[in-house]
Amino acid sequence: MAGPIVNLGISSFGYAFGEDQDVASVAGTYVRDPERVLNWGYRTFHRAPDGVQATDLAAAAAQQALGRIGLSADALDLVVLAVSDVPEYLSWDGAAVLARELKIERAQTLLLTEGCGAGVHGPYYVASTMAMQPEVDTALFVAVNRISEFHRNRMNLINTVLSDAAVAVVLRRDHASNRWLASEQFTDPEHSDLLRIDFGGAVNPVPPEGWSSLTAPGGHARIREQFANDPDSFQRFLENRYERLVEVIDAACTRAGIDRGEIAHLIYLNDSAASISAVAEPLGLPLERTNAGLAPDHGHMGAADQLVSLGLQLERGELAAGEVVALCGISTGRWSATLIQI
Amino acid sequence: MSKNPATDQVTEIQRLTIEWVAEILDEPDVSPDDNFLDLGGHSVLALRLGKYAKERFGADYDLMVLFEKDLAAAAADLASRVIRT
Repeated sequence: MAGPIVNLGISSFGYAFGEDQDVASVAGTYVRDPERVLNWGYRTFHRAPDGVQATDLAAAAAQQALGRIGLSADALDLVVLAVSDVPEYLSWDGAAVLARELKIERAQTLLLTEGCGAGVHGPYYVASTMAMQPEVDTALFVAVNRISEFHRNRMNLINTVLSDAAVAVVLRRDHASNRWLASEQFTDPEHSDLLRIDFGGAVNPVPPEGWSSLTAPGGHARIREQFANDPDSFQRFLENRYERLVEVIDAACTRAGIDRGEIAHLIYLNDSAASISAVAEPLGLPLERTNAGLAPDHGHMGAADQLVSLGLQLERGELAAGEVVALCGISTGRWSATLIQI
Repeated sequence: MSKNPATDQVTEIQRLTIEWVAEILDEPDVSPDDNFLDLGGHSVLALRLGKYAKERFGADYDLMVLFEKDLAAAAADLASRVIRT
């Protein structure tokens, strides 16, 4: 195996979850057809209390990650924050605010807002910074998903139950375990409007009168608008989702100088077991070597999914030293993979 | 009395659609009135269903019909394209 371009590894994990909610008990308050939601197979999701925002979850996860290794936030050279749902405010740097919450007086910061996949390719920006700036030794990467229920219905956007959580990792130069090997990403911009929220930005600052996420058409309506008259394009869009995940993992393997067969575990977003299996099968991995066992108890925590699963599987002893874990995910039109060696 | 081959094929597509959906979703009680998504179907399972159809009939389901209408309609739509070709 060729060495990575820069040596760094994850030295600590921290988590913050919204309150556990029983899917079967509450699905009927979000959608008129709760049976459809129950059939996705989720048991539990996390819902942050109304006053708890993304920054609160991110800061709590960060403090846990720092506290577990006795590291002061002042020691951080870089803070990268990935936010995968609606931010608390517009024209507002959530990464800077997180740094302030951690009482950091001065550090380099970066905010990623491209969606769920940012939790996978976020470590690339840490590695890039370490490669370019020899003085950067210690970084914090936080991925947070806090659904704004005003804007989104967490049970009818996509075929997952959207969930509130944050995960934080401390990445240190020359850390010998949980080593970053490579990240790869690419974007096909054709369908980049697919999951957008139509109001709240400069084009439509406010929603139509009487609009509610509980009654508004869900993600399926957007799919219909995009593909109703073009079944072939729709078919290709769905096929591409999975084929390109394997493609981006292969590209990460090439960059790391390893073979696809050396991947011991796959961590995809917290999707259904069938969807996770569709990515795992081409890699020759059974569901037991994926995040399929964790997903039903957490729901889809946006950008936090993959690193939450990595951390929890490590803590459960499910990942052995030396094994290569492939994290992969999709934002709208962006495919990402990161390889970590335990 | 000879049977109409086109009618036979429509019947077979309707029957296999129900069988395949039951198998893919591991759901024994599937009826023509059911909707694929309501039964717990989603994109990757729809692609698997489409693969079965392609292998057997050389044509795929219209996924939008499959997602929005009942299984009888999805089978009828597929049958119309299979018989036309």
